[in-house]
Amino acid sequence: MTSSIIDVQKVSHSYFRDDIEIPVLKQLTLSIAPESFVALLGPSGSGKTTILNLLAGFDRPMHGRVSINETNVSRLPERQLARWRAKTIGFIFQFYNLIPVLTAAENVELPLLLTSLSRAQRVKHVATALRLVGLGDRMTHYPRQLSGGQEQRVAIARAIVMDPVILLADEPTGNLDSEAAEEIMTLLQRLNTEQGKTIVLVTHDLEAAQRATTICKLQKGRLE
Amino acid sequence: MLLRYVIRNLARHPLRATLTVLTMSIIILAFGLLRTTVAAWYAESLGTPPDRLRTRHAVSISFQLPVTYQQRIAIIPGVSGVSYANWFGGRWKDGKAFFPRYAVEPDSYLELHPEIQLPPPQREAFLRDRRACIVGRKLAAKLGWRVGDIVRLQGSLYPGNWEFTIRGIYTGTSQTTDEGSMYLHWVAMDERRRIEDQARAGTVGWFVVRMANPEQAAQISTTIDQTFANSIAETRTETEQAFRANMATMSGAVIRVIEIMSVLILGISLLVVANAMAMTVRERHHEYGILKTLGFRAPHLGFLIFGESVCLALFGGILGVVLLYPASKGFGMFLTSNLGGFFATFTLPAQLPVLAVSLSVGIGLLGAIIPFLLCLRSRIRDELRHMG
Ligand SMILES: Nc1ncnc2c1ncn2[C@@H]1O[C@H](COP(=O)(O)OP(=O)(O)O)[C@@H](O)[C@H]1O
Ligand SMILES: [Mg+2]
Repeated sequence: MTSSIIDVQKVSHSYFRDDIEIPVLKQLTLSIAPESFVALLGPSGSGKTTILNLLAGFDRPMHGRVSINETNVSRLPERQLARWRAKTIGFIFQFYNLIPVLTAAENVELPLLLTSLSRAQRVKHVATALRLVGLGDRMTHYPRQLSGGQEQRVAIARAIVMDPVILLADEPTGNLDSEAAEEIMTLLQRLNTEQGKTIVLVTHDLEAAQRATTICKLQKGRLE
Repeated sequence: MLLRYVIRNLARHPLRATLTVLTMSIIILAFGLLRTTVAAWYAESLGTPPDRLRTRHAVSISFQLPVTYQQRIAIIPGVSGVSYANWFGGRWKDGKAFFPRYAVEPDSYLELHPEIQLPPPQREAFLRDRRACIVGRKLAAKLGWRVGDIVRLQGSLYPGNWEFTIRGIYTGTSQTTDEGSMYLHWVAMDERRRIEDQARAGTVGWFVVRMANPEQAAQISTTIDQTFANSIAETRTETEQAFRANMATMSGAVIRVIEIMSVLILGISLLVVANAMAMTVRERHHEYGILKTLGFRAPHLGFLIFGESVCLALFGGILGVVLLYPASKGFGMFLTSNLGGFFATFTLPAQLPVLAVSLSVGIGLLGAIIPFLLCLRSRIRDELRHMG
């Protein structure tokens, strides 16, 4: 697979607690093709979040290499990393995704504030993103006025408003009832097929994982 | 948009924000009052015209000088007038309303102190009547005195009951003139001393010496003091400013303490703001993590954190300055009517509101530094933990 968009090579990673090493990832190698929808399935504590953190450059691997779009993420200096990340990757987390004092539209607008787009252009992008997730009519709602599923869709709108090629989702349905979870998964699926986003979904929920095109099982820091 | 975010953040903890703003406003209010007190003190010592000297006992102001020194001082070259005065002491009613009382030789005293203004008929009446007194406008207003009223004092330095008829109410020619004192005839006091307290009869507390040319102050002072060297009561002559400073070295130290306190309380306000911001930033730990994942870096996070901190401090500062106006009026009235000798006037220095507001902004900025650094230092990985 030469044309992979995400390339993880022999990555090992540990945390230290009181000088005791807690190994989390062991010689992990993973390659993800563009426009694919990959689910990383594993029990809690298996290192799923750790992998996403390494992919996004929130953390640097102790050994091995993480490349995205031929860019060695672990080598980028902090400032460049932030800029690169804002353009390349969108995130969706399990909960508390939104800023509670900002409306849906304002939350989605946040990443655009760092660009040179004019106000009018920003408003247009925000409206497009919110319509795409089916919340065109909820622009001025505050997070507390939305349901959990709607909040998560606003978070997805915010993740895609910069039009990144990759979406990283960390248990995005973990906090939702099954109906809302369905909706979110359908939305992610659509973003993958219609918009061509490469999606890495991390979950311990087999049902959610089944919506992906590829499932990788993570067990004690290793892929099976 | 980021500004809107800052403003909404301010409203997230209304109680905490309100308390911080109120604390800040009280501190700025206290700062303003302390600074005004200090300014009033300096205005007073600067307000005295420099053409007068005071001659007192070389040992201490509490020793008396013979009144006969007057003639000997008067003939010293460069001296254009001499008068004298004595603390009268005493208590008025329960003693709670304190005001300075001076026994003076009225004619020369008024001549040497043109800043004490009396309508000519009142002046005449005062000079004619040995049992008369004059009182300052502020003092009269405070105690509800009118011309013709009788002031009954209980002697302390000079025992017995004393009665003085108010023959005049004087005003000051400038803002810094004390309008809170009482002047009475030195002879009235001395007559009684001749009978009851002969040791102190014929003595005065200090002489007021007017110079023809204020530039000769040093030379004239030396000449006066040399004149009385080796006599029963040696003298010390100094300018009125120096006299006042000496008379109130204690108060001078108090003023220094007030100056230091005014700086200290600013330090307290800094801690208050820093503490509120530290709590706020800690609570929003997670939120800043999300912002960082979206590409927010130091300048943007700084805008949010410093912006909020400056708003809190600034609102408090502005409120404090607004409160300062009525508060300084009340406080000033209290000071000038009770300590008129030291604080003739009490007005807000013009630059104080600007200073207070700029200091508030400074406190807001300083208070946010540590919370901001904490926010920058923590890693996204840790900020996002416990959320899935
Ligand atoms: N910042 C950290 N410090 C110490 N240990 C950590 C840290 N983050 C994760 N861990 C530990 O690493 C292991 C894997 O964590 P994580 O990647 O969050 O797993 P998952 O997302 O699959 O539940 C867990 O045992 C967790 O306790
Ligand atoms: Mg996790």
